[in-house]
Amino acid sequence: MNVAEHYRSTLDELTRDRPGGPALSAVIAGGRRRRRVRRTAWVGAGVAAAAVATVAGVSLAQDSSSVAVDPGPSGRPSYHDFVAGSEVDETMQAAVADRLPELGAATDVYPSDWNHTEPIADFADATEWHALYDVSGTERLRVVMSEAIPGQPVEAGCDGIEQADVPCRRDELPDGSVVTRSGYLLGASTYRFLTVRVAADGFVTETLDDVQAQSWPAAEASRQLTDAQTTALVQDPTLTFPAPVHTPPSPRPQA
Amino acid sequence: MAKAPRWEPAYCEFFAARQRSFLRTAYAMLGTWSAAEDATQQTFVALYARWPRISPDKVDAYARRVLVNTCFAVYRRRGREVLVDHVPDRGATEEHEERLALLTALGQLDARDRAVLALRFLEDLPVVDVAQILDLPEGTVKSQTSRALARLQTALNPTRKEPTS
Repeated sequence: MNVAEHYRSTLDELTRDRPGGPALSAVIAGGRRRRRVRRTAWVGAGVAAAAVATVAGVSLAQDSSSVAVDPGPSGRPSYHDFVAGSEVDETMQAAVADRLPELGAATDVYPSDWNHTEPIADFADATEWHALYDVSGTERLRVVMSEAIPGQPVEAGCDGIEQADVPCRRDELPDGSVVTRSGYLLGASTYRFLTVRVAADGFVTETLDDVQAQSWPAAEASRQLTDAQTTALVQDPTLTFPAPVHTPPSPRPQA
Repeated sequence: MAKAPRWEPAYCEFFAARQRSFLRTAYAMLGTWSAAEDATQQTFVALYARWPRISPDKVDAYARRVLVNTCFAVYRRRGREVLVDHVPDRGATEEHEERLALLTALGQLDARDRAVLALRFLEDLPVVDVAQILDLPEGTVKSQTSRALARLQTALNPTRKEPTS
């Protein structure tokens, strides 16, 4: 008997007649409870989001009926489940759909950490989450949430990022967070519109809206999203995720 | 009393069809029956909460992904602690020792190796399905299966060296 057969036969023997396992009634009760909690959370988050946006002086582009709720069998549009077992990907999509209803579906949502720009395998260890959208043929949006790196201060102002023809605006909000809106030339013909919210605890929510254009004024003219929308989005209180189970090593501070 | 949603019978049917095999897979990954029961329950609760949004033709793969991810999370929470359940003694001492040795050897594998072995050899899933569940290229699943078997062999028989690949 080879090792694969030994493995199979042993586990067969160990589990074949063993009693136990979850009861159907228990999982249905748990599932119903979770569905109720999720519905309540979505609606509550929408109300809280509206309150925060009002405090910050940001007018929302849509009414409260656009708050995403768990759609049920024949209800509202659903969100693609990019990361099985996690609800953060769907929460991000719901927040974006709420603030930027004109956008299509996300092209990708994934967990990452300080030491990677690409997705990581274990979402429970994520210190960042990214959601990507194609706004148009020349405009792409990336929404990022990230935990504060222990021991490293988070830049929460315009110092060092203001450029000659690109203004930077900084607002301190009553909750202690700071929102900055700025932009810079990213590549040969791509301009980035950056909106960053740094919470009092260092948690960062940002939108990186990249527009292909030959100049900053041309990029502004062709940009479809607005600063008001991205500002509302980065303040969305549902944009959060659980702390990592295992915190990865901190990257070295940039010189 | 809450009215049952229209899709609930389909969910119940899926539960009846898969509960046992999910429990076996979770046991193979986690090494204890109680942890396997918890992970299986969590998986089915999560499935219920999302059921209306899962495409019917993808529900099997989706459910197994949730199960495997749930087991990974349990595994991480207990900090790679090697747990070996009480092995039911059904008579022959030699068989009992063999079972215990296998579970102990499994406890020395990492979670991903255990997942690959469970999906390939307990669930009898083809490489393409395992690749989809673990979100890995098919070639990686093949090489990981081979390495996991070699590690298991080595753990069962420490005098035999693990082949390098």
